Amino acid sequence: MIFLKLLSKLVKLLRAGDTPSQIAWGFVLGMTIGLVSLKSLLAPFLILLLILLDVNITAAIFSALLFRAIAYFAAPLFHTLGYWLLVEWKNLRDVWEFLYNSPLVPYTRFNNTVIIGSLVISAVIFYPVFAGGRLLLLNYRKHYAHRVRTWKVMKILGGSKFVKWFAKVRNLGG
Amino acid sequence: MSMRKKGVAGLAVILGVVIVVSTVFLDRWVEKGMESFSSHLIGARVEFEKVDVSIAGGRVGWSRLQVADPDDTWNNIFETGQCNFQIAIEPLFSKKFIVKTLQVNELRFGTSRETDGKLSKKKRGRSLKPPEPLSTVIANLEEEVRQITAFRDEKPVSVRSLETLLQEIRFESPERIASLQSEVSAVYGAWDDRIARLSSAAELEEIEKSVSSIELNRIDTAREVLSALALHDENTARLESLQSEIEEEQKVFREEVSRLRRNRESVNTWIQEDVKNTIEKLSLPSVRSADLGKRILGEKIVERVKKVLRILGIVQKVRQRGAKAFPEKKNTVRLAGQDIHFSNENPLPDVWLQRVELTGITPGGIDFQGSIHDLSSHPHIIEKPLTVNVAGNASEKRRLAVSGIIDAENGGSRGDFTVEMKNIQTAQFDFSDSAYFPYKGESGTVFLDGKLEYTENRFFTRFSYSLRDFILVTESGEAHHSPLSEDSLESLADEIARISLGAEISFTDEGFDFVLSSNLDDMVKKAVQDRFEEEILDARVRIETHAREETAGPLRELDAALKNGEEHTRSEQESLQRALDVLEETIDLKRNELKARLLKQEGETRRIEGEVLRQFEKYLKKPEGEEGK
Repeated sequence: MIFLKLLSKLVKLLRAGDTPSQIAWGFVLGMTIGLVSLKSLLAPFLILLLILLDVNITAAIFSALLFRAIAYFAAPLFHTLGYWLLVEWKNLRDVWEFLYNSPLVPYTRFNNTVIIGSLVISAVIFYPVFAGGRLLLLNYRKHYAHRVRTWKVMKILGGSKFVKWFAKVRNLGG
Repeated sequence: MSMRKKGVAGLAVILGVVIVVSTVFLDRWVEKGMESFSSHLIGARVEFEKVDVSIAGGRVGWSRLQVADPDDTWNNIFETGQCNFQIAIEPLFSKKFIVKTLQVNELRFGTSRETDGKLSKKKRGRSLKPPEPLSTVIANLEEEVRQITAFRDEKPVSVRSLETLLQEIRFESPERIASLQSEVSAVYGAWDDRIARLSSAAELEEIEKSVSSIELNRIDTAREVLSALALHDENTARLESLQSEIEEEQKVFREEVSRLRRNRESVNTWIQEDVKNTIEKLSLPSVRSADLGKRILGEKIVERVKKVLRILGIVQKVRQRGAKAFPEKKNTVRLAGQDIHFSNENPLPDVWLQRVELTGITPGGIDFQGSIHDLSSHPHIIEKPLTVNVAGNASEKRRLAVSGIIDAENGGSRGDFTVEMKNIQTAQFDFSDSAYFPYKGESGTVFLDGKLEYTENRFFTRFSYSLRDFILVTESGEAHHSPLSEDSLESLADEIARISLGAEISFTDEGFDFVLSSNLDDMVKKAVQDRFEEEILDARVRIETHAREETAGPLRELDAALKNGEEHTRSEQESLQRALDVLEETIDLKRNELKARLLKQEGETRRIEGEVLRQFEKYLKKPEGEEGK
């Protein structure tokens, strides 16, 4: 019973923050975690943000897994971009040297070509993905959500034992 | 974006749990981490006991440390008792491990282990090989040790029974003498043929007949005189040709005789070679002075140098982590990327032991204390040399002092070091495993000083080592298998009051060189020679006598063949020469007679010519009318 209660709390935590903005925030944070290496100090910092901020964690987990897979294939692109930024673009050298000699910053491994490349790409696509995601959700909820609920497949899924068990666990303890 | 209250609370709980767990287990984790890292670096087990970490104070300590020897994993390179070090906290945030002070107590070397310090292959990793040029120098030194070990492992020399050997031995010189004799016979046989061909009776008879055919009594007219002269000139030319041919042959003969005489002179060398080969078969010891020092003391010296080089190799490995400002772009493992390093305005080395305070005990039981300053992974960054000063005293006026300074230079190091050990104990001075030097030192004073320089492609060290006021004792009875007698060994031990050696190891583009010279060279050589001198001399005389006896018969025959052949050929040549001389005299006589006849013929001709002219003038003076009367 205790296990089920803990599971219920976890499910609620995962479903928390289900406004379009919260889901979009969760998605972009998850995206950044997925793209940036877990060996960097940035990864625990982003996870900490995910826990502290009231964002949708399910969306974050989903996007983290999705973008980790994308990162695997995009690694050569990150490496090329990172090498250009760190080595070939001389104007940035002072910035890198300053960061390199600052306390703690070297632990972010910003001087790694793939990590800096993926971080820059995350930063560039951060707002477009957030804004686009939020807009998509709003449109979905306004125009398509009620239609989707009427789909036969959704009714079958809704009647399945697993979904019923999931709903039971979710509502456990009020 | 609002904060998640439950999230913050949960995180605080998790953080609290982590802090508590870390506090409880931190010491163990740090211990495991240090053991794993150091073991991988050394290539053998490194074990810490009771590690105590204080994050707030930046202090780390342990009660015992054992560092196993990778080459002998049942022994430690060293072990320590209680150690404490103070770490600078701020540089840790920049991945710099700066130790302000490290106190090392109860440092001991070469202690034995209760468990095997060997690592599994997986844990051992690939970091054992020191960087160049140290690995090449170590490989070359190992080859030196193999050669020295081969010398050491040779069975003790012994003199075989001379009588048995003389019965078995078969000298080569009698056969060579017989072969020379055959050559002599063949050569003089050939000369017989050549002389016979030269002194062809027909040729000489023909010339003689031709000379005799000039009969002066029958020559009346000038035409006959001229004809005789022509025949004479022809005979003279034939004789001269024969003469020059004989002279040429005599010249060749003289050369041939000289060659045969020279070959005869080689016979003594052949006999000496036989004697020498026979002596070698007796297995009498032959010791070259130049190699002795290296052969006797080299193995131990090389082992000690190798240990120092391995430690230098570890330091060098750490140094090579130094970053490159503009690295080449390279292909990397997917998601791994490439780390780019940048310069530092206030650089610090990755690892820097600013001050190490040592106390310990040597294997000889001398308590020592001292300090090491500025041991660093990047000496060029701190711009300070590594300095070592250790000194110790013990009862019975025993003393130890070590001092050294090592400066960084172009990826390598340059250093001077001195070690002084006074009245050390015998057990720690096992000089050699050589059968020629089965001694242990009992007490004495050891001095060691030297230089060390190396860069990425060059290595050089020179050090001198001297042991003064030394008392040596021999291993008694069956403990040693020295070819030297007990008396020789004892007298040698009495003579050696001082051992000195100088060694030089260099590795450059021109190759590797290891030179070791010692005053033992001459001492041991003399002892070996004294021991075997009489035996060698006696054997030499007997072998020489035997060889002379074996070769006496063939040598007599050879000398006879040489003498007879030369005399016979010479006499043949001389008789030919005499025949030619006689003929030449006859021709000369004939020529003189012909000359006289010619002069006489000339006078007669002039007289007739004068008469004819007078008659002709007279005829011309008569009047024309008288002509008809």
